[in-house]
Amino acid sequence: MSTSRLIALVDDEFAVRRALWRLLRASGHRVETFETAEALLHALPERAFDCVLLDLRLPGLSGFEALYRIEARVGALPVIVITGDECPEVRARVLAARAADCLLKPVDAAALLASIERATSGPVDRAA
Amino acid sequence: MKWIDIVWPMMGAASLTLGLIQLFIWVHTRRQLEHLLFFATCVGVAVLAILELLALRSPDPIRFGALVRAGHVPLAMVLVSLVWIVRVRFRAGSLWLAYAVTAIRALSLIPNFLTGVNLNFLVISEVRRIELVGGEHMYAPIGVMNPWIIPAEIGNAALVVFLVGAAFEVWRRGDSDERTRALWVCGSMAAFLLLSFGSALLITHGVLHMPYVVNAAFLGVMAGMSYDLGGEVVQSAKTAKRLRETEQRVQLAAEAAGLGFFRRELGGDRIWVNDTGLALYDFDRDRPVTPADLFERIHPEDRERIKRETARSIERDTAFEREYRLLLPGGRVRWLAVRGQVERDQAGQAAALYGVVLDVSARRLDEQRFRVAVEAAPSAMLLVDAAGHIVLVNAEAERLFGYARDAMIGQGIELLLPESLRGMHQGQRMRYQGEPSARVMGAGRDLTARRQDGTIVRVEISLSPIESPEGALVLASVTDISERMRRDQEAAQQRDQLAHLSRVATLGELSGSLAHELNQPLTAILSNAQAAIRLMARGAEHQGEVLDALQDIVDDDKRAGEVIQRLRAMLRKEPLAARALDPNALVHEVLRLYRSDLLNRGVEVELALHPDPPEIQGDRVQLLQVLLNLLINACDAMHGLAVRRIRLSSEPGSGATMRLSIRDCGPGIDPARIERVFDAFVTTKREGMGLGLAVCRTIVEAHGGRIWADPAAAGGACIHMELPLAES
Repeated sequence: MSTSRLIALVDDEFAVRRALWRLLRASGHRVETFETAEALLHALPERAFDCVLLDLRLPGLSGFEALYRIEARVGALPVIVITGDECPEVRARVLAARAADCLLKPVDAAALLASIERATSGPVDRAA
Repeated sequence: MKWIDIVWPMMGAASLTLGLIQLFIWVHTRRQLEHLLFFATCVGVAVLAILELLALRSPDPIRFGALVRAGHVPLAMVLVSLVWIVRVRFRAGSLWLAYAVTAIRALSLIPNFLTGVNLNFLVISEVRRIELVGGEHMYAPIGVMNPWIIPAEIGNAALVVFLVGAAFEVWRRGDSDERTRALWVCGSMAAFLLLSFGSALLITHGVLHMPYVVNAAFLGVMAGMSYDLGGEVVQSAKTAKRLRETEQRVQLAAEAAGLGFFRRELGGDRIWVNDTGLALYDFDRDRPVTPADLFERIHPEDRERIKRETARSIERDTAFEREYRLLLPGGRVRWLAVRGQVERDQAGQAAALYGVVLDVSARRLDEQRFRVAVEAAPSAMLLVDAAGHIVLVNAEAERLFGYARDAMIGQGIELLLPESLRGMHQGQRMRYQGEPSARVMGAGRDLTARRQDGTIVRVEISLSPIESPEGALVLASVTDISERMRRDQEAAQQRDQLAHLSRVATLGELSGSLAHELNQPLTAILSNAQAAIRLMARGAEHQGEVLDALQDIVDDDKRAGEVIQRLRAMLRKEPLAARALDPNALVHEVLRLYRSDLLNRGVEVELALHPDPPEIQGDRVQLLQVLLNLLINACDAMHGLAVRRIRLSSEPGSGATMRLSIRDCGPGIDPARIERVFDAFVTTKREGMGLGLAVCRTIVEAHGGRIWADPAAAGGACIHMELPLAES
């Protein structure tokens, strides 16, 4: 089992938030959940998250918008985008915005945990 | 000249004159026997007057006796006639007494000629001269009475009894007119006869010495009789006058009504026609009309038929009715109706035809117009009488039902119904006749008719009652709607097909949204399941957490199922299934369907919904599709704009409708194209097929509603649609 991380999870849907929260906790991580990107951005200065799991489709501030702002605020914080949109352009845009990874919903636990592991350990390699 | 020589011949002459008048009447009437009998009476009295005059002037007893003997013959004739006049005229008096008087008087003639000098005397001893006033004299006989006079005198008494009895009988019968006449006739007869017989009795029995002057008494009797029979002549004259007046009134009424009269004696070659009748046939007033003239006037097409019918009437009818056309000079046609009777003699042979004629051209023209109108009608027309028989059909009815005209006329209307409906129809027909009105038949039911070849066709029938001289008729207009039904069905199928295709197309546009809708629960399920596996691997103390995860899996799975359900409903190819729907619920449902897209595209939705809207009538899925199309269009129109807002509203529309409107803040619709945006293949989108709004319009119109773009909308497009309310 890898090291326990503090993970921020942003998804507007409660069922998804709780399921991912449960999975990550069962995998030994600590998780804080946010319904909107605004709420996350609000909490960012006080919390030392190891990683952010971000849904793209959000009410209010969209996932992309959030991605840019996190990048601008805490450049080193890895963001893993989880989206239902399998359109290749979306994926390209996400990676171009310097996201650590872009995963497709429904996301497999092994792939998610591996991605978190990759994003939070070792030198940050953001070359797309 | 002495006065006796004047008075007696005058009495004879007067009597004879009266008698000849009665004879004249009898010869003309041939029926009233009393006139003939009265003639006999008068002749008898006249002869008696001559004999009496001779006797009065006869001083010779032998000559006197011979004259009296001769006088008994006319006397018997007079008395017997009087008896039978009363019998015949008043049908009264004892028949037995009448025979007795007749027999006695006839039999008395035998001793009159065989015993003594006459019935009165065995011997006349002398004739005495009697002086009278004015220097006048007469002779009266004196002699021995013949005993045979007694039966004759009993006969005279019987005659008086007979007359009195007859007078009583008529009196009892009670007719006041008859009473008066009976009293006059019988009373005067009885009185004068009594006087005459009384005097004769006294003279014969030698009590009174004077001549027989029975004649004067008979004149009294005849005066009474003449009054009676003369009164009848006066009565006849009055009756004749009344008849003339009645005839004139009938004539006037007939002329006013345009009624012609005719009478044809079958013996002769003439037809009597009144002036109105002559005018109807366009005959000259002065020229006599013959049957040949009349047939000549009849239209050639009707002539043979009328000749046949006339011959048949003469042979066996008592009354007849015909209608035929006249072909008048100048080619004019006139329709006549004739109603007549056949007069027959006792042997049953037709003696005359008579009756009335009326111009019925106007009615015939109306009938003809009616027939032409019915014939030209584009629907099958059937005229049916009160008994349910077909009276008239048109060409279209022949075509629709496959029967020839003659095969339908006279048949029951049930002929044209499917066998299964025939029994029921009779009752329905009766009910309609009880309450006839113009209406569409069997509202709300599928009506069928049976063709000659047994095939069944779907029809629409409207009924109109018609009052006619032949009774209540019903005009049924029958339209074959099989073809229309088939086209409607085809159109509905095509519409459903198009709607389905368009839904599939819409779903393509929805796929992002749908994928998200499905991905969310699937993501949750997968994560929960994998979390549960991990928790279980870590030991039993996490069992509570595992149960929670499993419960969430169940819930999310159901949520995913609902998404699939909605998807399937949208894709299902079903005909329009209308039911009552809450319009606001429709709006909410379409927003839920499209929620993630709206989110994704950053479109704000503003709702202005009626707080308590009435339900509308419609197919949920199809209306959802319309709303979804409009929503997608609105979002597409605002693509790339900074402010993206949609306003959805529900409010009462015009009439019994609910109006749903969707307004965006895009560039709006070009006013030049606003009328055409609902046409197929008209689109403002680069990639669109232009089917969306066309399908929307088809669906809305199939719901009985309408959809249009608001030309007055400022700052974006505004589409309204109005849908009919559900029947509560």
